[in-house]
Amino acid sequence: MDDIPRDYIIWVFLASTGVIQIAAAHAGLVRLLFIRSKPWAYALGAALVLAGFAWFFREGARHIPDTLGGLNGNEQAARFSLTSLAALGFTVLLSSLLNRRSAEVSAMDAEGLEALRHRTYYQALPSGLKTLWAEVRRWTRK
Amino acid sequence: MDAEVVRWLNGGVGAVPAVDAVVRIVVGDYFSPVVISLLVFAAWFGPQDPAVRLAHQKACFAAWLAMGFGNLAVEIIGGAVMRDRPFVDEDLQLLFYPPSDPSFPSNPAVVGTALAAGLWTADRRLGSVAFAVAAAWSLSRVYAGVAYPTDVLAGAAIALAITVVVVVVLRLLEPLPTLLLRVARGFRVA
Repeated sequence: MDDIPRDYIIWVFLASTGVIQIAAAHAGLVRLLFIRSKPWAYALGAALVLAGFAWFFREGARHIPDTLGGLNGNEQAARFSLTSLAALGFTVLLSSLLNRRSAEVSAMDAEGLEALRHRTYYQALPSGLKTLWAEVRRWTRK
Repeated sequence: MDAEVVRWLNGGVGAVPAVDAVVRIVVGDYFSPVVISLLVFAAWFGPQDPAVRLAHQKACFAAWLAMGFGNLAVEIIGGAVMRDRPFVDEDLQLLFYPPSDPSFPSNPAVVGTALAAGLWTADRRLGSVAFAVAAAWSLSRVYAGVAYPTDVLAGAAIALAITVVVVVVLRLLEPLPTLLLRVARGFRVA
C-alpha cells in the first residue's frame, strides 16, 4: 500500500531536522546542534536530508493524483508547515538535553535565536518570554 | 507555436532514459516544492548576522504570502480560462499522470517562482538555486507533456507580479512584520 501522507511526513521531518542542523551550524547557533563539531553537524544535517529524500523516493517517482491517495497543494502546504514545526520542536528538545551541561548560562542575554550561541533553547526561553512580556506591556501602554 | 514546442520537447522522451528518470522525479508533485520550501526554511535560520537574519525572515514571509496568493490566482484564472492540457489535443508520451485541472496558468510555475522570488529578495544565492529548481520543475512539465510553454511563462509572470505586490505591501504594513518577528524572537524561534 502506497502511504504517501505518512511517507511525506517522515521525509519532511528528517529533511527539516537536517536543514536546521546545517543552517544552525552555518549561523553559529551551536546550542541548537546535536554535535558540537561544526563539520560533523554539517555531515549529520546532510545525512538527514539525504535520508529523507531516499525514504520518500525509495520506490520511484510516486506519481499518484490526489484523487487516488496523493496529496494536493493545500494538503502539502499544511503538512509541510506542521511537520517542519515538529522538527523544530524535536531539535530544541534534543539539543537542550544534549547541551545542558556545556551551555554558558552566565553569558550575556541576546535577542531571539542569537541567544542560542551560548545557551540552550530551554535556558534561553524564560528570558526571551520575559523580554517579550515587557515589550507587550510597553506596546499596550502606547 | 505553443503546441509545436511541446511536441518538439516531448519528442525527446525515451531518447535518454537517464534524463527521463530524473525528469520523472523533478516533474512530480513532491520533489521540487519540498526542495524549494527547505531552501526557504534554511534562510530563516541560516544567516550569521542578526540584521541579515531579520531581512531573511521578512523574505520568508514574502515567499509564503506570494505562494498563497499565487495559488488563489491560479484558482481564479484557471477557472476563467479553462485551457485543456496539451495531451488532450496532441499525441504525446506522458511522463506524469494526466492532471484533471486546467493547464493555464501552470500551478507549479506559480508556486515555484513565488517561493523563489520571495527568497531572492533577501538572499541572491539561495534565491538563485530556488529559481533554478523552479525553472527545472516548470520546464519538466512541458517536456512531460502536461503543460504548454505559455502556461509556464504566464505562471512565472503572475508569481513575479504577486511577489512584487506582496513585498511592497509588507513594507507598507511596517512595523507589523517586525512586531510579529519580535514575538517570534521572544519564543526564541526568530
